[in-house]
Amino acid sequence: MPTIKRRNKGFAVIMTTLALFATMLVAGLGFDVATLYLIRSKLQGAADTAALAAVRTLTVNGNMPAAQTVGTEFLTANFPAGYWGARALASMPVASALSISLIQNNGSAGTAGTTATAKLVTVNVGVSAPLYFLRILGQNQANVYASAQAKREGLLIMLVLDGSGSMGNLIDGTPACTWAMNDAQSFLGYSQFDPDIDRIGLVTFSGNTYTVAPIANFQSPAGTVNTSSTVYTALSGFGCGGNTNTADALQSAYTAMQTFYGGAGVSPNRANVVILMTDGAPNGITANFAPQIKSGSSCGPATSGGQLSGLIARETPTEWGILSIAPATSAAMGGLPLIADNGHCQMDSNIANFYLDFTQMPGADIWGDAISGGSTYLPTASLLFSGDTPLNQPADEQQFRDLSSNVADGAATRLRTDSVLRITIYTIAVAGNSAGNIYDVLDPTLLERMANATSSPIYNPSQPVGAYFYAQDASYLGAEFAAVASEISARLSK
Amino acid sequence: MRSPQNKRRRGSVMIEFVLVSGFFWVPLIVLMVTVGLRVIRSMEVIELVNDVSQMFAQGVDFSTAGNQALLTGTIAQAVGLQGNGANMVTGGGSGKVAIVLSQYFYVNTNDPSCLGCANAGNVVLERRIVVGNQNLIGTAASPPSVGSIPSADLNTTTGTCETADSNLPPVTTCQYTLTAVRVPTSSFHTIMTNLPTNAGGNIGGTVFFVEAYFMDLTGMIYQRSID
Repeated sequence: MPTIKRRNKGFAVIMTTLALFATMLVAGLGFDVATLYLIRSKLQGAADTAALAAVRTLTVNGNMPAAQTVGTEFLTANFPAGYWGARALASMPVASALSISLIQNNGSAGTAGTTATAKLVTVNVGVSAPLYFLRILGQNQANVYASAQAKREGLLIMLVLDGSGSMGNLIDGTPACTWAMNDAQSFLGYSQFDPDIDRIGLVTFSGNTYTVAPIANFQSPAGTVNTSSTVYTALSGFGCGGNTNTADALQSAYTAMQTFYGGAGVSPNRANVVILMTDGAPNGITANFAPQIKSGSSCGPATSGGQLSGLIARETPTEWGILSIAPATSAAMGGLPLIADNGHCQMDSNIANFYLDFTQMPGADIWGDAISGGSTYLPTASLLFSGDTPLNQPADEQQFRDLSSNVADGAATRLRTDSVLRITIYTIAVAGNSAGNIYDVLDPTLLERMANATSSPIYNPSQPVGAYFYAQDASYLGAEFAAVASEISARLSK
Repeated sequence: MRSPQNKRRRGSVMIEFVLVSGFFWVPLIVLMVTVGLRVIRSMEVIELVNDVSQMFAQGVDFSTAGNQALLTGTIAQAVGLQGNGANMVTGGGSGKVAIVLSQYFYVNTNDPSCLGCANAGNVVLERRIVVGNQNLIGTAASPPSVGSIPSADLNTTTGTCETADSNLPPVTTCQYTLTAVRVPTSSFHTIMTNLPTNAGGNIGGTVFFVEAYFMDLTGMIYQRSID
């Protein structure tokens, strides 16, 4: 019928136009949404980079405005103005997109130098992205947001410094001990450490161990040294003499860390670091000798069933002995019982006579680290106190050094494998002091093992990985302390 | 019964369909597919440079075969990155992607290793590693990247700068003395001079710069990230 045909005319045009409109709308929506995703992807990458750059800056220098400046620069560098037509929102200027705050472990606000345990970098950035096709619907732009967070966590550093007799050797006319003291004091002023959130403590050791400065904050602005601070003052009295009881020193640092957090097993709120500086092999062991009393001897503990704990060390080339532990040191070592015998021991008249009281070295030291046996670093047989021969032979000395190295290695492993504290150990070897002394010669392999350095023969990536540093003599110690600080900083920034 | 008029209309519908399809629907669909693919690829390349840049900044050495395999086998596999073959740091000649990893260093005038050295106060290129099709760099209106640094001044095994005689240890000296590795003042120059210095306050900062060149039928996509 002519009328219907006339009505059909133009229908295809209308349908095509409608389909075209709908298709354009869908295609435009797709294009605009894809553009928004593209902008957001770029913006998120820029925010992430800005946060990380700010944290990297904080690990080198805790100055918050400087970190804010650097982070903002990275933000704008990675998201150039006008990228796909995007513009910063007036309500969220780029200059204030990045903020840094002091926080506690639970995320709440913290106070610098006291409750703060970390610095949190937060990036909140927003841009207005232009829309192209959706303008048909009156929508000219859409806001795109990105946020990122990164944290510079606090550090708990225990400086463990060897004050054994060999550190008294002169290097360029100055005792190695003095070099160490000066360089450790300079270390306190390195800008990598953040007084707002970091803490430091000091242990020095020879045959005995001395916790000479309990853990405290740096007591000075970043990058400066407070010559009245606890650690600085304690270092000023750093003297050298005696043996090298490395295992006890590590245990002392460990105990101090646990005490700082409120006891063993308490979760830490900082990254835990031990820096061990030593110039020789360990040659001191603290153990309970009660089970090794010779048959027929009337020597024994003061109380029935009690321990007879003490430090065995090589005091002079011809004099070995179980050295009683001074009460102050005992307290510092977490209540380690003193040698308290019943007054019938041969060593009471002369500590070098201890071999007359005991049969051999115990199997483990007082902290449970194996002294001898196949599982140890140097699988040496136990040192026997046979006959009436004092321990003064080279073979005895080497064996005792090996046994001492075993417990030091065991102590370091125990610290690293503490799944709560996860302590990272950095070791610094100071050469040039102990050459020629078979009982004290420096052992780089032991220090690599203790640090779990990547060069260690027992390197284990699942444990905290430290690093080993070598100073050819004490005058190079400053450079090695700086290297340790840089290494710690680099690790924190990752 | 079909009338002659209907037969005529059937022909005109065919013509209309061809016209509308040829001039409108097909181009529209092609455009949609092209733009869609380009946006998807752009997002992939953005993610790629972000990831690679952060890895590079954290010390991953992309001059080694193992780490390059990580790129070609996983991270950049989706965009078709091809390996370098024997040219570990200078790039290969095939594939749709080139990734340029550059490490820049600001030579602080107070740096004790510099002490009045030739490059004092300049930003220098310490290292450059190219992975993928090096022929894409600077083509199709993309930026030339670090192509202005002569390749002869970069070690072909490690990508680090080196002196012409290659006898001096790279990295430890060339960044101070080799003027050829200076980078012209650019947008990131300010970033570098503002980076914090080391503990002694005298060694300049380092930035890690990753650029990606991706070329397919939709054209060249260039993205970069600075860490």
